[in-house]
Amino acid sequence: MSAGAATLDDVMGAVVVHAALDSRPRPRTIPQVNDDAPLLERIRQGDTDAFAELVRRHQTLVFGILHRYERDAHRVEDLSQETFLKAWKALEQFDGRAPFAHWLSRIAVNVALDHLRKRKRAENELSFDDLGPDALEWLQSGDSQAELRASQARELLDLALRRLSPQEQLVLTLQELDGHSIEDISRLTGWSRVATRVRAFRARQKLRQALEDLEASVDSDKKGKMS
Amino acid sequence: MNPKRMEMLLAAARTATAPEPSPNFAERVMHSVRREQRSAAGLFDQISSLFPRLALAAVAVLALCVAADFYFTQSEASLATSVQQVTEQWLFARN
Repeated sequence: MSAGAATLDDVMGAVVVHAALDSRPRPRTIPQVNDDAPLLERIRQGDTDAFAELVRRHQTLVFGILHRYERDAHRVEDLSQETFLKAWKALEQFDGRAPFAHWLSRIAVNVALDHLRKRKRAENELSFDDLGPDALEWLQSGDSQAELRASQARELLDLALRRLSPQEQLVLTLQELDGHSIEDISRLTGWSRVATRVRAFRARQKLRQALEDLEASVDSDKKGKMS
Repeated sequence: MNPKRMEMLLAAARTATAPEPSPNFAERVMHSVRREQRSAAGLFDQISSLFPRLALAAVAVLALCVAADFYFTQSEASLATSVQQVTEQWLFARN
């Protein structure tokens, strides 16, 4: 095979890149119909077991929201459990005007924010040692065509996001990864639209800066090892 | 990092899938809900069971205070009398 000819790996790599770039964030589908009303009525009448059915209906939604903020599957399950427990305790406050899933999503987002705050307070800074070899290689390569898997991207993003405030991490995740609009984020977090817009703008700038810093430090690390 | 690489990073991160809930996840939640109910009910029951004794103890303390006050005001001279006595006998006593 001649040096200029594209190998199968090159072609497949390009396909993966295009597929990745085409995957624009799509908002998570939250049920619009309030068909949980009969179940909620049973719970209000004292049927505790009806809540288990409600959990089964919405567990995928809650896991889907929370896995963006925690890579460890066991911790995601713990956070999801915390979300449902909070929902149970606050069930009397649910007035039924909006679908139950919307109300539950707000609780899950609050649990996520609390989790990010706790993690920030713990100050367990990640370092390059926490990156897998593939993620580190992608960061070092500087190649815009290099393939990047979801798990490696999560490792890198996690490292960069730790440099942002919990609110900035939240807004960026909701906007860039979950594909929510500013209005949606404002509704989910309870922040004003202006505050949400400003936070989203600053968060994106800070993320870019954090990634550039990571690239610079990995470059200097590489040069240091070579010399 | 150039915008294309950053977009690529975000696009790859978007494709991450959420972990599946464990088969007994709903049961785990219900277990913690019931534990929560029990602890709330337990506290209420404790207060309910203690309340008659607490009320009795409070009434006994009040009665004791009233009785003590009554006893001391009857058996001893009033404060005004005592002050007058000290004034006359000590402070302004004629030598």
